[in-house]
Amino acid sequence: MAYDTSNQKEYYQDPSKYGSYQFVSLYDIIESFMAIYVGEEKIIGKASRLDVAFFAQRALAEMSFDTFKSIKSQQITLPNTQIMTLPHDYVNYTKISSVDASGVKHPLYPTRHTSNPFQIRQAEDGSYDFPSNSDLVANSDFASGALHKWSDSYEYRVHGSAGSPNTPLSLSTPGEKFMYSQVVDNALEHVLTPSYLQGFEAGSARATWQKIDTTNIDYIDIEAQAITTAALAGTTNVNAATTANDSAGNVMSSVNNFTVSNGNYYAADSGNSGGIWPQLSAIIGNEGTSNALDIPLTTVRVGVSTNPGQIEALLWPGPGSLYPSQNGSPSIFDIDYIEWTAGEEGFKNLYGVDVRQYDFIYIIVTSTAEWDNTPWGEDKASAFVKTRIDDITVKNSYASNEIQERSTLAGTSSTWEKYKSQQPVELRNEDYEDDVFFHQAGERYGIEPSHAQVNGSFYIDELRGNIHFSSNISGKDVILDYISDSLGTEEEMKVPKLAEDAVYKHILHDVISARRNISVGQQMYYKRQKFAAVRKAKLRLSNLKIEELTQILRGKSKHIKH
Amino acid sequence: MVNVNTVYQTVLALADKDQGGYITPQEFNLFANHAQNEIFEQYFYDLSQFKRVPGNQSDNADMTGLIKDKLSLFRETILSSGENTPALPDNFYRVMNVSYGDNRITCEQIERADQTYYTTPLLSPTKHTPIFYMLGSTDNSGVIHRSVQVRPSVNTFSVHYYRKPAKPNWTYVVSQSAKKPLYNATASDHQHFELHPSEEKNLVHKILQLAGVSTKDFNTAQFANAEEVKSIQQEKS
Repeated sequence: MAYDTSNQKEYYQDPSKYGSYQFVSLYDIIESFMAIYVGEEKIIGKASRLDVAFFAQRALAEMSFDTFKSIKSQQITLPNTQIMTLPHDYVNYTKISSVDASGVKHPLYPTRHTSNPFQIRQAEDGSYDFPSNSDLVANSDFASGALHKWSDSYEYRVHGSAGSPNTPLSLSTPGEKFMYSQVVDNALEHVLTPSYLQGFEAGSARATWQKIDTTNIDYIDIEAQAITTAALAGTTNVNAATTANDSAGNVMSSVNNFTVSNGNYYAADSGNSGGIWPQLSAIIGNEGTSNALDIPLTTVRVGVSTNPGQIEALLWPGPGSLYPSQNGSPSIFDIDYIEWTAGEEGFKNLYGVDVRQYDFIYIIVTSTAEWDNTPWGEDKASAFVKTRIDDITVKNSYASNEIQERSTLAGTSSTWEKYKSQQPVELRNEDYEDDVFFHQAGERYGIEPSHAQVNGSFYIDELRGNIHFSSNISGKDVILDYISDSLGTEEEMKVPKLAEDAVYKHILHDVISARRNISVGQQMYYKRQKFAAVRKAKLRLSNLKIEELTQILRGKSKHIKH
Repeated sequence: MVNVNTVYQTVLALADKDQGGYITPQEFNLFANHAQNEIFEQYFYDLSQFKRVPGNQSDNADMTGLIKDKLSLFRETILSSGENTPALPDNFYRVMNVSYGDNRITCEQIERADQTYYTTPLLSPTKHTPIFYMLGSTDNSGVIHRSVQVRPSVNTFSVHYYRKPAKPNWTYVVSQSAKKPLYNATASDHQHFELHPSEEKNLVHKILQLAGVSTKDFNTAQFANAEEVKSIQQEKS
C-alpha cells in the first residue's frame, strides 16, 4: 500500500523525475475518484468517467487560476518590434519584468493610456475604402527587415565556429546557421544545404508561409518575383590543398573541390574533418582525392493551399509523415501555385484563383534543392545554394465587401507606431525649472504614482495575442510570469499533493450539482466541503513559514524603511 | 454446471406422476433452453435491483456478490488485432467493458450517436479517457454481427463480455428393448446446463411450469409456480 514505490537510484539518476513526488497526475485523481466516490453504496451511484474527467479538468483550471502556485514563465530578448507573443498556454500574467545586468528583475507596469486598435483603411476624403486589389499578405515586401507575420520551417545550426565566406579553415555559416531563411535587402532568402541522415544523402526544401483570411473573398490574384539558380557540375580541379586529420587520425587531403560562381553559391574548405558532423568523418571515402560536388538547380514555388508549409525541411527519405519534407513537392499546394526553376527569375503571376469554398488559406513559398548523388565529404557541410523571393502579393480580384485594415503590416495601427517610437514619459525628467514654471521651483504636485518609475511599461493586445512594450525596453531581456489553466498534455496535467483533497472535493461538488433531484441541502453541504478544502489548499500553497515571517517582522523596528 | 440428466429425471418424476405427463427429450431440450435463458437474463435485472439496496461485507451472503459470482461463469475476453475491431463471436451476449494497456485503462461506453458531443477539448476522448461504442451490421444472410469501435484508436484492446449460455442438450439413444430413449452422455452434442449449481432447483421449477402448460397439467404448473415464488421471496426479502 505504500505510495512511493519508485526506485531511489533511478530517481536520483533521472533529472526529469526531480521533484515529481510533490505532484499527482490528474489521471490518477480521476481513477481514484471513480473507485472511491462512484459505485453502489458510494456517494455517487453512477457517473460516466468522461463526466468526471470533464469536471476534473475544470477543477484543475479553476484552481490553477487562484490556488496553485504560478510556476510558468518565459524570457525573451525583446526585438526591435517591441512585441512579445503571448505563450500558447497563456491565460493571464502575474508579473512582467525586465532584467538588468545583475540578473535582477525590474517590474514593468501596465499602461492604460494607449492601445493598438484595428485601424480602418480610409480614402483620401476620409471615407472608408473598400478596394479591389488590396494586398491580403502582411509584410509582403519584407520591408520590415524581418520575417514578421511569416512562419518558417526549422532552421539548422552548425556545431562549431562560424567563419567568413571564401576563407579556408572556417565554415561559411553566418550566425552559426547553415539552413535557414533570412531577409536580406528587403527580400526573402532561403539557404539550402544537403541533408545527410542515417546513411541517406538528400537535399532540402524550406517553406515560409502565412495564413490569410478569405472569408468574404471569391477570387484572388497571386504575384511574386523570385531568383533561382541552374545546376552546376562539380570540378576536381585542385586549386589549393590543406591537410587535416579525420577522426580516426588518418591524414587526409582536404581540398576546394568546386568553383564559387555568381555569388549565389559558396563552398568553403573547412579544413575540419567531417564538417558539422565530425562523428561521421570516417565515412569519407575519397581520402586523398578531390570530390566533384555537383550543385543542384533550385526551384521556387509560390502558391496557396488549405494547409500550412511543413516545419521539417529535410528531403531525407526517412520513415513517418515528416520525411521527406512535402515542401519539395508541388502537391503541398492543393489550390494553385506558380514556379521558377533552373535559373528562371523575375515576376510571375496567377489570376482569378477560386477561393470561394475556403474561409482561410495559406500563402506558401517553397524553395527546393535536391542534393542527389553527391559524394559525402566535409565540403558538403558548408555547401549551400540560395534562392530569393520578394513582393509576394495575394490580392482580391474584385472589390472587397469588408472594411480593410490600413496597414500592410496587419495588426499595426498608427497609435502603436507612435507609442513605440516615443521616449516613455517616465524617462522624460522634466524639472520645469524654466521661465514658465520658475515660480514653482522645487514643487511637484499631482504626480501619478503608476508613472513614477523608470522601469518601463507594457500593454497587452488580447485580440491579437501580443504584449507591447515601451521603447526603453527594446533589446532588454523580458520575463513574463504567467498562469495557465494547466490543461496541456496529459503528462502536464498534474496537481500539487497539497491540493489533492481540494480537487476531489471540487469534482464531487461539481458532479453532484450537475445532477437532478439533488436537494439544496445536499448541494450546500458539498459546496461547503469544497470551499473549506480549497481554502485549506490555498493556505498550504501560500507557503507561509513562521521563521521567514519572523525574519521579515524583525525589520519592523528599524527606523528607516522603504 | 447443472447436470442435464438430473434435471430431466427430476422433471419427469414430478410431471409423470400419473403416467399422463411424459415429456419427450425434444420437448425437454426446448424447455430447458428457455428456462436457462430466462434465469440468465434475470441475473442482470436482479443485479440492478440489489445494487440499490445496502449490501454486506460477506461475498457469500451479499446478493450483489452472489449474482456476480454466478455471472462470472460467462465472462469472456477477446483481443483486438491491432486497431481493427474484433468480430464478436456468435455467442456474444452483453459487453462488460473494453480496456487496453494491460487492462489498466477502461474505455467508457457511449451511444454511437452521442460521439458528436465528445469533440470539445475537455470532452474529447484521450488515451487516458477513451470511449467505445457498439456497432451492428447485417450480412447477406440476415445475421447481425456486433463489433466494437474504440476512440481514440489504440493498438490492441480487449473486449470483456458475457457470452450466452450454451444450449442444454439431453442426448439419447433409442433402446429397441426398452422402447424408450436412454440417456447418452457421450454424444458429441451433449451439453449440461452452464448455470451455477445453485440454479438446479429453479431450472426444475421453470421447466415444470412450461411442461405443465404443454401437457395441460395445471396442477403441476401451479405447484412449480408456487415453489418459484417461495424461492424468490426467500432470496429477495
